[in-house]
Amino acid sequence: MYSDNSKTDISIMTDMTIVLLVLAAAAVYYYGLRAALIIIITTGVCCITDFICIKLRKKDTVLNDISALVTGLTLSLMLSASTPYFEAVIAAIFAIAVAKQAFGGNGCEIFNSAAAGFLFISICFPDNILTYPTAFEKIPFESIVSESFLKPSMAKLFITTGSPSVSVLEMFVGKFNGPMGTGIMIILLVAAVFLTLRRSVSAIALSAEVVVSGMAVFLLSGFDLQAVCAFFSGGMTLFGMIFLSCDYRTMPKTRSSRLLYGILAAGLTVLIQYYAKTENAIVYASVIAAPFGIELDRRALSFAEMLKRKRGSLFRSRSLKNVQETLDILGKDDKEK
Amino acid sequence: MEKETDLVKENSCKTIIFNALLKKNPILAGGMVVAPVVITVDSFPRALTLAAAFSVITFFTLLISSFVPKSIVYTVRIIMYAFIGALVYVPASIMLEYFMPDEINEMGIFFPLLIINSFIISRSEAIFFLESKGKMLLDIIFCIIGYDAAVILYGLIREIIGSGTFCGEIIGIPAVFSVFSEPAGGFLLLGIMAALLRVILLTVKKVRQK
Amino acid sequence: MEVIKNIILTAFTSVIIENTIFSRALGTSTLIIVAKNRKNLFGFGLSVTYITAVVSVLTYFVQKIFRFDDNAYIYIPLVYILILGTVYILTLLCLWRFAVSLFVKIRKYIHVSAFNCAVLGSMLMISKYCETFTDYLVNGIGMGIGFILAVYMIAVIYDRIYSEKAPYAFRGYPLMMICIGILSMAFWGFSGHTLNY
Repeated sequence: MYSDNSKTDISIMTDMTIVLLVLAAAAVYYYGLRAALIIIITTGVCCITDFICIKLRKKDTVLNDISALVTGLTLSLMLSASTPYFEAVIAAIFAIAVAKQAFGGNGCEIFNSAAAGFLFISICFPDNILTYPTAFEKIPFESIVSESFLKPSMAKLFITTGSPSVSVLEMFVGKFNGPMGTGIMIILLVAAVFLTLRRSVSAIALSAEVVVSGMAVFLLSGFDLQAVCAFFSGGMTLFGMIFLSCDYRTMPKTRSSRLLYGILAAGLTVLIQYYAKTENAIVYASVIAAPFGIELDRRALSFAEMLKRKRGSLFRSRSLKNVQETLDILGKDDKEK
Repeated sequence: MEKETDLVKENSCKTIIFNALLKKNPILAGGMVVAPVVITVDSFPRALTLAAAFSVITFFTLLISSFVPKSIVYTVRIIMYAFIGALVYVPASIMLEYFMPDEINEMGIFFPLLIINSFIISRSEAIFFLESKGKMLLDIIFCIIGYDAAVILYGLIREIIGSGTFCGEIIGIPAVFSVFSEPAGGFLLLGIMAALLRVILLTVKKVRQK
Repeated sequence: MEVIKNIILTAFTSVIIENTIFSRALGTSTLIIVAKNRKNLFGFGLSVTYITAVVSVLTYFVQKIFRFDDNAYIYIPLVYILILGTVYILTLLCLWRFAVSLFVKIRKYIHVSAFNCAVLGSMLMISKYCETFTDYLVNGIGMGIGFILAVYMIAVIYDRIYSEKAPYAFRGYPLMMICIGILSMAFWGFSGHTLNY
């Protein structure tokens, strides 16, 4: 039970923003100015909604709180480049007003706000949200894009047919029908390494998720590496693992909890994708796993307190020092509650 | 002395009515009988049906149950309340099916589920049966009115934003959020309406204090 | 092997895909009461699952008798209440006779675990959609476990829902409904369609 608490919130959010901006730039490169418009609208509405909600709650705005920006960028990259503008606005308002501010604002969320916003909008408007334009095709600027431009995602086809419809190279560069910023594996892999080295994302949770889900898919697909690539690139799986389930605001705090949480999220993702045949399984999995993350932390705290009571029995003083640190960190959160 | 007693009685009745309709509204503040509302009430006509069914079953069950002697041990009393509810259900279902057969059929299993709703099983022992008969009747009637009013408003809003219709007729709103026709949206709408009620009560309280 | 596979699939469906709370909203009022106290959660869960299992088995036999009566839907709830009451009383009597300490612990909440929409709803649902004895039993147990899974998930986040940091307008019950709604959206991913009732 050791926790990574050496980073400040602003540092983590800055790292996330940098990576998301790179993904956004790639999305604009693939899908043109309409993608840029969706990103700007979603992010802008998230920030404005956050500001309005904070004012309505009569709280002071914190200048270095860019969590709404991170949520806006994450949410916009999960959308299709052909998403109607109105739907992007609704998703943004729901993500901030209902999934974040209703719980008490930044740091009080239970569920990742971008995941909740995406779930809301994809159930409301599945035809518009879950159909995608082809990369490098000029998408008209009208709010409702004609159906002739749109196709189901590569992930959906992979789920229904069992085999990916694009090559591994195309998966790595993100050249397939899907959400505008979540399929570019090359950037996502670099982002994962960058964020892990910068300790903005938990290495334990992320690697547990990737390894467990990768192995499960490898076995279920009959040892097909192409299927594993399709699993991570399509259906926003790798993107979701980095930005949704490993979101520092909703993740467990202790290392042992993060490991178990990562395994749970991976299991749920594979279960939902393979047995329920639902695309974007990571979004559902990250929401379902969220309460279990909180419980895992609580269990870790009880275990740490039990160890503290058995002071000097089996453990060396160095371990006790770490136990004390863990108790202090978790105790602070409990006191705040 | 008599005037003071009357004043106390009047305030008490006012409090009962205010609590039943607003402050402790059974569905928007108390979280009672949520299942039929969230699952079946996705339109205005269905809201009316649930309101009618709930009112008939709950009122008569509570009225008859109030005569069950308190000397009977609680373990047996609770079975008697449920049994009385099931007995009341028989004529109630015949009567309501006569007047609204399709609507009652659409309620599915949630119509017989009203037999053991939380009013009958928990609120009766906790609140209603501790009051005098007169106050109990008043409390029950206004609680039922409060529940019905909230359900009807809920059904109206849910139909408009979830299907874009009113009583089945398309009313041409710019966007329809189909999640509100699902149980998930039902829960979300209930939560938002409960929060709005709190805001209204808080505003009323602040205005009164000023 | 086929039988075991069907049982696992049926159990998975009743626990997760057609979850008692998140997909069917049965027993939401009971969830609000029970989620407050995490100490009794395990005991409560066991008692609900036990009751749903036993009554679902009895429902199977009752259905065989009343299956061909067109007017059975009018008085079948009465029969189910009698079954529920009998199981409730017999359980209490057996515990009082053979396990007094358990009786003392369980009597605080057994009436809540027996007389709630989740249990009666499971009887009505199972009798409507199930055919074989195995279906009845597995669905009965599954609905009990699904109910407790939902209660557990809400109990775990109960402190956050009632936290001082949440705005007053949302604190408590409104936020609980929103949380159930968000989790319900996530569980919708398993089924992808509206369930029949």
